[in-house]
Amino acid sequence: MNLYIAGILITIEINVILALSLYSVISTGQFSLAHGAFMGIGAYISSVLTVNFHVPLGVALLIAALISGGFGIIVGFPALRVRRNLYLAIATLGFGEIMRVVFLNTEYIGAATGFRGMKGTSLSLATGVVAILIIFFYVVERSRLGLAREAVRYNPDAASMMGLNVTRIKVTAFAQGAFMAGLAGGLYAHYAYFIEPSTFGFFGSLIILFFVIFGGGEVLWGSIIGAVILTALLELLRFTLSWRIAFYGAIIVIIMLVRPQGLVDKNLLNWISDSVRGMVSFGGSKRGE
Amino acid sequence: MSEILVTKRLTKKFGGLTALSEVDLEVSKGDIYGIIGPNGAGKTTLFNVVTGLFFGDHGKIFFDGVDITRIEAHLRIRMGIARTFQNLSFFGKMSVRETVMVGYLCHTHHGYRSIFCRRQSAEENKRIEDLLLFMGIEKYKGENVINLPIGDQRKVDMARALAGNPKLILLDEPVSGMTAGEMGTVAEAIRNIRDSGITVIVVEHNVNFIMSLANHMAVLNFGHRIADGPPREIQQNVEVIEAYLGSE
Repeated sequence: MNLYIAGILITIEINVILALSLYSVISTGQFSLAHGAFMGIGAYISSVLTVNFHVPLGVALLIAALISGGFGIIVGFPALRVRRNLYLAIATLGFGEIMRVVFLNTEYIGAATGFRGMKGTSLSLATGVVAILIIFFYVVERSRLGLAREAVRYNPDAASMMGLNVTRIKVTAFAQGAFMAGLAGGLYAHYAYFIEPSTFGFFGSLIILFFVIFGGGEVLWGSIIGAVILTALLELLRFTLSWRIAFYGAIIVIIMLVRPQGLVDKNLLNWISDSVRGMVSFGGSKRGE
Repeated sequence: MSEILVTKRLTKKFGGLTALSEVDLEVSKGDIYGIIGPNGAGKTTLFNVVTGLFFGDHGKIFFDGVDITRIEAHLRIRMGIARTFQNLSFFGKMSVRETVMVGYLCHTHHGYRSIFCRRQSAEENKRIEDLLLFMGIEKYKGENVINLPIGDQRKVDMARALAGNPKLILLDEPVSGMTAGEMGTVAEAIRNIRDSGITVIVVEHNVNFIMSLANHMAVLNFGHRIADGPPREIQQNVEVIEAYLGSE
């Protein structure tokens, strides 16, 4: 395959993982502007493991994602005390900035000059990870865990009055999101060969949020489609050079005005599945005639 | 012990406002226990403190002989307390069947171990359908709860609370927004709940409804319990008549 196309596909897949990582948090009614930092934790830890300690990439990715998930638990608990999303944004942003400063000032990982020498993320590896995660979410959403998360998302007080441990459900979803962001960070580092602190700051988190807002945070497919379209669009807008981010912003403003729930929501999915079912039964009856 | 719920000097303040002031209650097993009081008397706050939605400032709560004063909400529910809501609280666009299943979730695995379990097993589905039949709303099982008329939403709320196999159920204005005909079916459902061995506490604004239903009552006013006893006694209590029923 053309290397340029393969590169775009890998970027899209890494961004899909990032969007899924934020969707994991949003699926329990929470919010995060720390996902850039979780991605950074995964990126740096996996890079140090493969470059400095020659750990196999798969093992390094898993360790980095687990450590990132551990940080997710640490951030998730205080975040629970903040009930309004605006404050939650500030609290998680604070953590994100702490991590950016840590990346920027730690000589061992290259500080401001960045860290280099990683390789190994192939299209098949990224595709495999995306496939596993989509299947994981698909299964979870149809399970009791999915039902519990849905209840907590829409009404945490009522959910706790049904005997659900809201704290545990929210913190595990937050940690799951941090794990996935860490995994995406590791894949990114071993695709980009070079990482630097600015990638994992506030704008990193904001772009992940854009994917979910654009595609729609209500359903799994919204986040995925948001990441695919916006990443592809970023490539198509490459000729606009530094105006790209301005175009991005304009697209988000337009979608917020026209379709505040994002491109894909439950109603749209129901409409599509009803239409497909209608066509199948129509085809079936024709065959039966 | 014949009391299922006892509160001793239960107090809850919100800033300068005392919502509950040293409230003593003793609810016996098998009661339909009515609580009335004017708006802002502290009735819903009492439910919120008993169910652990927030903790009281002083006083004790005993459920079935166990001190639950500092026990977290979800654990109280798992011990056998269930409630409904004055302001109906559902979960987004969930169907009636799934909403009722949420009430049962806490008695099953619902963590990562459960990801290969369907949202409802065949047995649970049957149980949910029986509950919907019991409340007379089986025809709505696949519908989105928020599309139902208010009266039927309240019945879904009750079915959801019953799904957790409670020993005690707290009903917060269960007939609010209902027609007279619907009130009759809910009254019958509440008696059936009591007859199945579940103690019922009902907060209600409709005095006639609660007087005809409860076997014991308490009256709250400005966070104080000003009377308790059988409905007939309450009806004749001068302080209650002045505070709630009107002095004329």
